[in-house]
Amino acid sequence: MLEIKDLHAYYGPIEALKGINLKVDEGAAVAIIGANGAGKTTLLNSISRMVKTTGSITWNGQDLTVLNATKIAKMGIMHVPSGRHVFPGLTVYENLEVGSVNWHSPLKDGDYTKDLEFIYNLFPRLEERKNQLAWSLSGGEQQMLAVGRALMGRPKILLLDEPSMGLAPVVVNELFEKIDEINQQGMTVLIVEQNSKVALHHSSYAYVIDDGKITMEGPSEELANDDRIVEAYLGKKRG
Amino acid sequence: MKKAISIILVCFMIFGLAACGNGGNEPAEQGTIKIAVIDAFTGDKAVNGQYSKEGIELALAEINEKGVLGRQVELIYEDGQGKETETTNAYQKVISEHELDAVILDKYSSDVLAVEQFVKENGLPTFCQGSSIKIEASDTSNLYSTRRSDAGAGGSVVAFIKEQGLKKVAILHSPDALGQSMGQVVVDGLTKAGIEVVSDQQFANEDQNFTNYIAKVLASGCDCFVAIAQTTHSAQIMIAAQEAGLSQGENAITCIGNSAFVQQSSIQNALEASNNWYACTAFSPTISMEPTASWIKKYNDTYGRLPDMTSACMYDSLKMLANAMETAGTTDPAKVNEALHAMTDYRGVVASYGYQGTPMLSKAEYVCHIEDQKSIVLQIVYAE
Amino acid sequence: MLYLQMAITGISMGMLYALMAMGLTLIVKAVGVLNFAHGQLFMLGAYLTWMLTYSLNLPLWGVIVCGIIVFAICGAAYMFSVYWPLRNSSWKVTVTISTLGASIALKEFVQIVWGTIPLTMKPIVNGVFHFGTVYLNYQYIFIILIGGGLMALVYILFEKTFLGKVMQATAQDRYCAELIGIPTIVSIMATYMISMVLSGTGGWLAGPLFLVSSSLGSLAQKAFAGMVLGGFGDVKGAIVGCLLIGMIESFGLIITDAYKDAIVFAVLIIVLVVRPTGIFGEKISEKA
Repeated sequence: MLEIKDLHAYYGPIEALKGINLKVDEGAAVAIIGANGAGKTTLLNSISRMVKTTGSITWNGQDLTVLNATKIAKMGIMHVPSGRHVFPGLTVYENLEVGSVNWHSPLKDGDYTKDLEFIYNLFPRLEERKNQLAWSLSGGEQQMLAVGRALMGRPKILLLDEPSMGLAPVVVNELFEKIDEINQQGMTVLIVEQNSKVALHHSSYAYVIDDGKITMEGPSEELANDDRIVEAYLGKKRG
Repeated sequence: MKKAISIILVCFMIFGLAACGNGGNEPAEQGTIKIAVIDAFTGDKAVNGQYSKEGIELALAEINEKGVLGRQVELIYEDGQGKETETTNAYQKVISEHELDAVILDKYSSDVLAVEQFVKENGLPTFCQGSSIKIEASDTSNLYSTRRSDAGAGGSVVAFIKEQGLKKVAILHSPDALGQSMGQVVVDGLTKAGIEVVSDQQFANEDQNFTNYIAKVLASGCDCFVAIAQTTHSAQIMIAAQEAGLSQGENAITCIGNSAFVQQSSIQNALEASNNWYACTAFSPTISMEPTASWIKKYNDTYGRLPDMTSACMYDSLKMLANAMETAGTTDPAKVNEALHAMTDYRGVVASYGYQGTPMLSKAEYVCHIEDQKSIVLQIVYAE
Repeated sequence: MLYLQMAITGISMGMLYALMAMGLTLIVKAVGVLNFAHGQLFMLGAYLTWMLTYSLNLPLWGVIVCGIIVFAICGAAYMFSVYWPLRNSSWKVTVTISTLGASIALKEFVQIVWGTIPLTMKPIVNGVFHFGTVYLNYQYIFIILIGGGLMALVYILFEKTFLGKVMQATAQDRYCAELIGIPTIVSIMATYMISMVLSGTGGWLAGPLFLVSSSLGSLAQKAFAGMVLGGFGDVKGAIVGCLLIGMIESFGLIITDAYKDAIVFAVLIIVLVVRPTGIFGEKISEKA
């Protein structure tokens, strides 16, 4: 279980997160929605220790704030950054292979059979293109590759930063269905999204973040029907 | 806190600048005689600066035992890096910061020519070790060189080639003033003497690999190879020539170099490759004639190695300046220059010196042959 | 026969340039910075191996083993002093300027430690190989063999091993590499170490041919040219480009001596006009 208490994050003198409290239960799919610049990416960067913070972040009781990014990954917390970020000069297969770095023994060859089987089942297109260089994949395929690579690390929780960004609606739906599948197999998922509709549809609990603070929280279904959310984030007019 | 630090830093700055300002205001007649020495103390040619410094410090120690006109001589070193822009900057810097009595420049003719106009303007007695014909042709009457000009050295090379009866000459020269002027003198002299110049190559300063140049020399079918370079490249040219069987072995031809080829650093680096080379030079570290031999021994005892020509020239420069000041009875530049112009036969470590109407003071040159990594003097060439 | 001589000299010189260029490209790919002190690392390699051979009097195998260890340490030390403190600076050019400073410092450092007089180093095997009128110092052949072997090893490391893929990944996207758990500092340090081993070995091979002096680093100019010619940022391109530059430089001497460098750079300009990304170019283009 991931628990965050009174988290403040700083980019130099700028305070990007101003006291965040949230919880992600094991096996849950939690969404964090908010506008651009609200602090969503900063929140994930705080968990993966890419930014300076004060406050408490614990994973199953263990304090994460004293660790570095490498150790976080080793603990099974995989942050998939926004903008896809595949390794462009490596093939699909090599990208996936590299994802196993935190459990791969440096001298022996890794046994990826089970992991690859799972990932290729989930994303058959990746298997089709496994020897293709990652830069030449379509946006949707790259996003799948990024998620697949994270899965290769045998994580216990996936942090997904704006997985829908830049993708066509059809592709977005397909992707989120796959995320559902992963979640149903027991993976804890924390999704940060600007596309509130899709995020709320595919999560059980949600937080709304605005200007570095949590302004609302609750079961996703309830938030999806809440007027304030509807007007501010779902683009429908009230009444 | 930050403000306090800034104020303290500003105070330090003001203190520092004030302290600097007081440095150069000693009255000129009392205190030390100040002579600036500009040479390459850092950079690619730093080896030259090291030899120069060692040579001139020997002279300084001897001179300061008695002093000059009852005063001690102080040397002020500035780094010219053996490059024209840096030398000019160093010159401007040292002229403006100190009240100088004289200046001694390095052996790179390009550097000397770069500051020539300033030398003329300030009238200080200025020594250099450059040999370019442009220095010889200069009308700057307060500029002196401890060398013969390349015309002389080039002429000696041509004379030697004629004497040996060689018919086809290949030339390789450096891109600086030395290479171009001496190269030109040799080409002109040979042509006038009816000897064919079958190849004339110029290498680049950054060149480290001479294999291809030597290959072209081989292909030219010459019976004589003339190489003109500074000590930065002379050893490598000799090594490449040996590898090609040009200077040694059954197909060897006559290889002649300029003074750089018989200097200590050159022979030390080329080792056996230096054998069989001829060179036209004013100084070589294994000369057996006096007073040169004793001086070489003293240098060797002091520094643990043999001197370079520049060490000897620098030594002579300082000694001649001191001598001229004593003769003139003052450090007044005009009078010192007069004394130097009146000098007819000063016996230095390198040669006999005398003013002959041009900046070139030296009256001696030798043709040497390298045997067993030592240079043996074959002929002594004097100026008319 | 003159042409054969020039071809072999050209390939050897090209190999020296390629050893430098390969190391330089690795650093460019790993940290996105052009290392202006690279020629000086080459020079430092020559001085260090001279010290191992003549001051410590180690036998050949000792020089090789200790040399690699010393180079690795120097590579790491170089990274920590010149790159690491400035890696998060807001101006990308900061590290480049730092390498400029390092190049000057290294040049003078070797003169302070080992003196200004150039040092002599004996070749691995003394002697000259004669073939008709072609004569070639054995050292040239060693350069081609050892240089080629080293490059092959590095190629295998990067293209065929897991560690190599991890290092490539770090070079391509450092932020993402951190997130998936790659200890990027180790990866970058390894890159610098490999780079130094390549350049240092080049210096060791070149020392007997050129005298060990502070101006040994100027060979890097041609290495840069080779990198640009072959496609900046591509290791294969760097090697091919440098071999070409070595050949052009060598054969350019047939046409002219004083302007042979101008010929090299003229060819470079023509190739860049026709194909701006160099012969092999950058395979990766931005996807929106």
